Amino acid sequence: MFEMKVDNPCENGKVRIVLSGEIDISTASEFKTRLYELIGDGTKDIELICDRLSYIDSTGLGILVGALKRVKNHQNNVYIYRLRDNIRKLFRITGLDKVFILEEAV
Amino acid sequence: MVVSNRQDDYWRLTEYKSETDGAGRMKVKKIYRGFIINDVNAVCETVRGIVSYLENSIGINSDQSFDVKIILNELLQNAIEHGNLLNGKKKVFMDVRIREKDVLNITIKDQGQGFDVGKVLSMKNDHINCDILELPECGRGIQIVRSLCDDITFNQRGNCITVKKRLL
Repeated sequence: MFEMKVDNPCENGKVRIVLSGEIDISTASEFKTRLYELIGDGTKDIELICDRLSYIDSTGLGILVGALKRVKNHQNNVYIYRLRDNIRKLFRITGLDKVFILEEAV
Repeated sequence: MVVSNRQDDYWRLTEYKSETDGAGRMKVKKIYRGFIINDVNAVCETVRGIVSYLENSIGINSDQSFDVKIILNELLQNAIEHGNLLNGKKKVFMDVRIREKDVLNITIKDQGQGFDVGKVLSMKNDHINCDILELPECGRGIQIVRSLCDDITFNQRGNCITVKKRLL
């Protein structure tokens, strides 16, 4: 089960996306397609709200890296909010906690 | 028991059963032994069954459950994608059992050519300080598995991996 919802009043010019459920090998393809569609040519910052994201594996992390590269091309960024401890651990293991901006409060 | 309603003859399911020593203490608890077809949905179904069994029968907590799930998914995903090169005619062999009461042993073997074990094991987070635009988008799976497991061994060819993880 995986859900992805755009929750964006656009008041700050960023694209806010709420993720929930599991990003695994069976849902990664859908996640990638929809996320990259929302990113478009990368001209806006991306905010990912993750408190209801219960699982992500290396495929999902790779998709996030791809997203970051797309927005960085235009000097924008990916902000990741409210990661659960288990998933935050994966960011630490892979060193991605130093690459992404991880925040608690939106 | 990990249950599948597939009719494929290569689905060989093993009943959960324990071997005990003379004093009745568990030596080995067999959880799964068989072949998985080279398919994403088959992998997900199998992993779900094993994690669910460990939660309900062994009583692992949610943190352990998360770790076991990601270990199984990463290893099986490597096997079907990088080992068997997404060839639907190939299979992945997996054996999952618990030894010494609380040590989960997972062995996974694919039908691929194997890979350079030394190169993979020497991978570090060297990319952390590099330009973000140069970051690789894949290759983090085995790094995660190594971090979450207590022991990891490969065969010489590089197409069979065994990991151990203490559960309780």
